[in-house]
This record gives sequence, structure tokens and C-alpha cells, in this order.
Amino acid sequence: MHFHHSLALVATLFLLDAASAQPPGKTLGFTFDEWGYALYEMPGAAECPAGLQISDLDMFRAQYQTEEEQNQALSKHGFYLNRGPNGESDWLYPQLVTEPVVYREVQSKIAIGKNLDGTTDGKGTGKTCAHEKFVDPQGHPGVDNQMYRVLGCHAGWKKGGFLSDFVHNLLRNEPYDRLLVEISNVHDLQNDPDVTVSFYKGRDQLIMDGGANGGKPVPWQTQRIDDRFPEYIQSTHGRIENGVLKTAPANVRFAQLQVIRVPGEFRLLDMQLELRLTENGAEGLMVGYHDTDNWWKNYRKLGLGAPSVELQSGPGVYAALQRYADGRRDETTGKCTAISAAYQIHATSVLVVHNNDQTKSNPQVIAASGPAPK
Amino acid sequence: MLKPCFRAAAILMLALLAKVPVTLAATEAASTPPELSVEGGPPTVRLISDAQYLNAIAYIFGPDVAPSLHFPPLRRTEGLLALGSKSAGVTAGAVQAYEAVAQTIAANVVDPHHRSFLIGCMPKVETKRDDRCATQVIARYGRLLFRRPLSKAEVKAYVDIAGSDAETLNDFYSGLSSSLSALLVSPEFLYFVETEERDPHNPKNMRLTGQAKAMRLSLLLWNAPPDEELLEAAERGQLQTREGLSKQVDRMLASPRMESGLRAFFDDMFIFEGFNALAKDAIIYPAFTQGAVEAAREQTLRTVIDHLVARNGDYRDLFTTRHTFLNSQLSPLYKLPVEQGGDWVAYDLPADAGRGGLLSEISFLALNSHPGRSSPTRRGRAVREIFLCQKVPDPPPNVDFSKFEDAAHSAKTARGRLAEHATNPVCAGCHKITDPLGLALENFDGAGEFRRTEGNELIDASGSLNGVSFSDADGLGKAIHDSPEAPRCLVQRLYAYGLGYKPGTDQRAWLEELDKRFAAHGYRIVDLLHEIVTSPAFYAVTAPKSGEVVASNGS
Repeated sequence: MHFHHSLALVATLFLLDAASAQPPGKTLGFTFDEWGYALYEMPGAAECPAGLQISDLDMFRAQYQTEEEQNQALSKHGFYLNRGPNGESDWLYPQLVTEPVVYREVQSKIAIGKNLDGTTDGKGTGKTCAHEKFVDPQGHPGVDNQMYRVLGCHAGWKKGGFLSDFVHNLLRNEPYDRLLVEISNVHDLQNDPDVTVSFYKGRDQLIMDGGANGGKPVPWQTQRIDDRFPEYIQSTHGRIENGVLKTAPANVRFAQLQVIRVPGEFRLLDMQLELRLTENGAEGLMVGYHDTDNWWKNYRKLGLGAPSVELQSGPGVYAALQRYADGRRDETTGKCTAISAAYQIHATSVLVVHNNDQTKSNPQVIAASGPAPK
Repeated sequence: MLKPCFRAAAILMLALLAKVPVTLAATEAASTPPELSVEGGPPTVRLISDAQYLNAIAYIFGPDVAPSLHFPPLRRTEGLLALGSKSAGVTAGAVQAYEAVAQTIAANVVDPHHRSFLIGCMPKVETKRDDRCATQVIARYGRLLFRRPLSKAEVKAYVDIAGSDAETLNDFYSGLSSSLSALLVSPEFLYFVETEERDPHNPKNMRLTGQAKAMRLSLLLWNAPPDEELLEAAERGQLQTREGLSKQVDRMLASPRMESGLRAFFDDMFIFEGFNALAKDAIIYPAFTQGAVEAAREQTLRTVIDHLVARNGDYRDLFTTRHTFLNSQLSPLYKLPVEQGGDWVAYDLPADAGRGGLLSEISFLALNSHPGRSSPTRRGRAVREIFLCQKVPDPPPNVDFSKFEDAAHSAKTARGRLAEHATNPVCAGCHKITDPLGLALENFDGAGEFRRTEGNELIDASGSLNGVSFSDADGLGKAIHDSPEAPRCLVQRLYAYGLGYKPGTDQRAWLEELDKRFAAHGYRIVDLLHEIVTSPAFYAVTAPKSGEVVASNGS
């Protein structure tokens, strides 16, 4: 069995690459331990002047305002989520439901994210639809993160909210969600014009330290590649610039649980990482476009969970998603089928173990839609 | 382990010598060491340890019967907990603990899941007493638990408990449970009581009874009471002959239970009960998780057993070997990947890892450190006391640590800070003994993680032992490896551990002889064990002094 490990500041195996003039560089391994929607939060939730989203149950009460109407609806359709005209589930058939309360969206001009369409004004191109750009908190213009408009006023997704905590715990506690990232061929940790960035599904629990709130992952722990899932072995290129890894846009798919233990898949089109490398990890952004159909099929599984606790309603999210889609314009319909998004990432350095030659020598090279960003 | 050809020769010789009176002559035919006179000590009474208790229950009833247990700790004496068991009493609080554990075990033995294969007979009526079946059970398990056959009166007493409770509770098995529980809280089970008898070959002298020899043998080799076969051999008087003893020794040394016995010994010798209360500052050492604490102890024991038993290696090589075992919990501390996830994997540490040998394993480094920093002094003291059997005096109670712990101290490394002690004549005496050893381990922080610098200053890990200088942990390991005190210390500890008391001056010559034989065997511990447990010296006992109360078999 081939045995390979990656480590940054410790002894590393250096294997001569016959095809390369210089020996391969170091390999750095990471696992994501924080991976949440980048939602810029202002004091007093000023980004949401109309207030925060209300729950399905509140929508039901707004839809059927008297107790008698509510009882009739429940008697006829069985459950308060079944708010369609013929009792259809509002999460499974959101397009059939017109919300009685207007959807509460982000009104701020500031958002976390990157410029994905290359424009400064958000005008539609052949590939994108017209949209309003953001300025990032540091003042950089041209930021695309329309997902922020959709989810930015959800109490559940804000820091400490039910959903963000729930997803955070899933990421840390469920090996199914373990994403391993390797940066290989690194010759200079500060500036390297071309490094290889590989993604794998991991298979191990995280070892946590004894800190508060469940602790933090212990750096330099071993994480094995789950090579039962070859479809999640992917590779692209990037560069390191002033200690920041920047990857070329590429379409990626990662294993990710939906709701509690429903296996699903996270897909991001034109995904780019921008991660500052630190002593024991990395932190920064993952940006790209979500195919709206794929994203919704995953997201709607939340409706099978605890929608009243989640403080959101499916039809409102669905409608906003369609409304703010800004990427992957369908030439036939003229509508966009993807939405720009940004994630805040924290990664911990780990020792990635390859149990299989396949994971090392033959990763699936994912479609790179452009060069590494400047 | 004896090589097969040597063992065959030894067995042949023993067969020929079977009727010769027992002496201290060598068991090997090749040489005839001097016969040594060993007076021995009085028979011992030893309190059962947690591990011995668990082994006893597992070997008698099965591994899934005993609950986790923590009885009051023994007092470490002469470097070993095992010697503390000789003077351990049982307090009222401890009795409660023993009773609670006994009740759980007894209830598990008679529960519907276990009774079919552990009880061996069935009552005529389950709701009534059945003395016939109870007698079978009590006689069988009583013998194993008390390490001797129960008298008829004893059997009847325990059967009466079973019968009485069965009638009260209308349940045969509940009654039997009460009776088994009573056996388990009896001093006959909780204490290993050695008995002696007149030596028929030399009526002026006493000797251990067969049962007592079986206990001494079994506690050393298996850390457990004798099993049925050993008890039978003892009851038939076979342990009083060389041939009979040798047969049992060979069987026991070949048993997987010997690993358990050696583990217990090294756990004791290395003072690993310290792991039970070991804690580090989680902010400073986030990788030192509870899982890592348990794994560090296990790593060293695995390494030792693998090296000494599976590989039949030279004991001294434990101080230099790079072959060890890792699991995922230790991976962050060693910054080395582990292929098998949560499982243990054999691992050859890289030559440039800066580690090799027991002294650079997390267990030794972390145990002998402070919660938030390393301690060259503790480590140096531990090297001397644990591995070289030297006694380092305790520090005076009024040590001023303020300069050492001053964050604003101009010295960034422990070596610089310890210079304060070296210049203070009150401290210097002991620090000269400890620090040159401990400072060689300064490339490892308080959790045992490797480091090159402290306070941004390059660490100087040089040191010396008995005039031998070295520059780092590797050099220290080599110096211990080459030190004659290291194997001598092992012989001393192992022998005392087996006896249950510190050997007296009358045994000094015999210990020196064992040192020589250990060296002649290439420092193989299995051969050393064989030498010890087949020697008459190991079982030698003194006659009771006037007025002295000793256990006796009544003969």
C-alpha cells in the first residue's frame, strides 16, 4: 500500500518528478473547520431595515388570519407547511405559494465576496444577468454575492443562529462532510506562481482540543482520504501571492450532508479560493456560483427539519433565489440559472494520508474556467 | 526467550535433576554458577491491585463481567506500587467500593446472558434454593477466587448464604449472586496471602507452600492469580519440584497473559499512574487532548512489549529504538501522519525526527513536565530514579521559583533560567544531578512536542551522564543504553516487584548474579524472567521469628 503524507513545517517526503526540472515542493494539507455563508452583519442588523425573516408558521398565520381559517386549513391540508392552493408543501412546491408577507432582503451596499463577473457595474453580459454590485468591507468595489441578498436577513444564518450553528456542528462532527485540501508543489510559502490544489473527501472524525464550545480542531492531526468516493478527488491550479493562496476558477463538487444525515453534494461553479496561509491553517474566502436548481434541491431539505425553529419560509427563499440569480445565463430563456455566493472559510493544517495511488497520481482535473486571478 | 535448543537442554537437565534437592545451581547445563545462599524474606500479604482484580475476574468469568473500577490507590514504595500493596489496608470506604463492584460482578455472572455458560448447573426450581447446584458453583469459583480449595465448612457457609437469600427473594440466581458477592469481598480474595510450611528436605527451614509459590509466580508473570492448571500443579505438589515448576513456567511464559503481566510491571516501574491525574494547559498545548493522554501511555507500553516480547529485543535498545507505535490521537503531537486512522500502527520514526527511545516519547516527556512548560529538573530526576534506580533528594520546601518563572527573565530558555539554581549552593547539589540529563530533552516542550527554539532562542540540548557528554536527546538515550546502571536497575525493580518487597542484603549477591545472567542472555527480559521464576531464591522465605504473626497452612 502506498503511503504518503503531507506536512508543511515538518519533515516531508521529496520525490523527484521526472517530468519537472525542479524537484516537487512541499505539500500542505488542510481541512475546513469553518465554512459558512459570508453574510456581512451590521450593528443592529442595519443591513435588514425591514427586519428579519419570519417562519413558515408565521407565514401560515398571516395566510390564514383567523383561528377559524387556520383550523379549516389544517383540517383540509393536515399541516401548516402545506400552504399551496391544493395543500401542496410550501418547501416542495414553493413556486405555487405566494407569500402573504413581503420577503425581507438585504439593503446594504456592503458585502463580503469577490468580483466574479469581471464587471464593475454588474451590467449583464452574455453569461450573466444585470445585478447590483456590492463594495466589500475594505472598500473594494465590484463584489458579487447575491446569495447575501437572499439569506442575509435570516436570523438562523447569522452568527450564533440556529442554522449556522447547526451546519457548523455538522461540518465538525460528521466525517461525511470532511473536506481535505492539499496544496502541493509549493516552493515558496509566500510567493509561488504555480501550485496544485487538490480536493478530497476525508473519512475521519476531527480530534478537538479541550477548549470551550466543543473546542477547536487540533492542528497536524492525521486525516485520511476517503477513496471510496473517487468523484470527489479533484485538482486545479493556483498561486500563492504574499502568503495568500488564490486558485483559478473551477467547478467543484464536495460531499456534504444536508439537514441531519441526508447525504448531499455541495457544488460551486467557477469556485475560487482566496486563503491566507497561517502557521497552523488558513483562512479566507471561497467564492463562486451556485446552480440555483441544485442549490435549492439541497436547501429545501431544511424544510424537512425544523422550519419553525429555522425562522424562514421556503417559498420566500425560492423566489428570492430566482430573482437574484446573476450567473450562467440561459441563452434560450435569457434567465440566469446560477447565483453568486461567498463563504467564509477557516481551515486547520492536517496531515493528509493517501491510502491509494489513485488519489495522488491521478486526480480528476476539474474544469478551470480561467487563469489564477491576479 | 530461551532458544529452543537451550530450552530442550535445560528441560532435559531438569528432568535428570528432578530428585536432587533444590539448590541455587544454574538451570543451564552449560555453566555452573556458584551456589548462593539466599535467606529470603517473610511471606507476604499483598492487597490486590485494580489490574489484578480485573485480570482475575476476566480470567475466571470472562472479560465482559467486571465494571470499570478504581479502588483506593496504593502507596508507591521503593519505586514501585507493587511494594506498597504489602502494607495496604482496606478502609471502610474502600470496603464499600469493593462491595459495589462485587455485587455488579456477581449479578452479571448469574444474569440470563451469562448463567448458561458460567453457572454450569441448573436449579430444579428456579424460585427455590438448590444446594446441590450452589455447592458446585461455590466450590468451583471459590477455589479460583481464593487460590485454594475451600473447606467443606467454607463451602457450606457460602451455600447457606445462597440458599437463605434464594428463599427470601424466591430466586435461586439472586441467592447465588449474594453468595458470589460474599466470596468477592472476602479478604481471602482481596489479599494474596502467602503461606509457608516446613521444608521436608530441610526441616529446620521453612518454604512457601505450593499455593503461595503459584501466587508469587502468577502475579509476576501474569499480574493475575493462578489459573486452574497452576492451582492443580500447586495442589499436587508439582511446584516444589524443578520439573513441575519448569513445566508451569514454560507454559506461562508462552501465554499471551504474560504480556499483561509485563505491561503491569512497566506501568508500575514507569510511574504511569501519573496519567490518571495528568492535565496540561489546553491553551498552551491544544494537541494534548484526553485521547492523547491515554494514547501516550499505551504507546510506550506497546513499544516496550513489542520490543521485549514480540521481537525479543535487548532491553537497553528501548532507549534508542526508533520503532514505535502511533495512532491518530498522537499524530498531532508527533506531527506525523498515521495511516490507519484510529488504529495503532507500527512506526519507524524518521531519522531526522529528533526522537528515538523511551525518553523522547510523549509519555515520559509529558508526565515529567509542568502543566504549562517543560521541566529539565523533573525529567532529569525521573531518568535517574526510574531508569537508573538512583535516589534524588526532594527539593527543599522553600525553593524560590519566582526567578525561574519570571516571564521578563532575560534568559529565554530553561537552561538560562536554571542557571539561577546552579549558582545557588543550596540548589546546585541536586540540580547538578538532574539538569544535565533533563536539559538534553529540552527540544521537547511540556507536552512532548518537538521544538528547536524557546522564546525565539535556539535550544542548547547538550548534557552529560557519568562523564559522557552528548548534544541532544539521541545522545542521552545512547548514554542510558550504554550505562551499566540501566539493566541493573531493571533487574532490581523486576525482582522486587516479583517478591513484593525490597530484597535484603542477603540477596545482593544473587541480584549481581542475575545481572550477569541478564547480560549473558543479551538483556532479553523473557530470559531474565525465566531465570528469576525458576530460581529457588525467588521463593525463599525465612522462618517466623518468635512472636511474629505469619500466615500458615497449619502444618
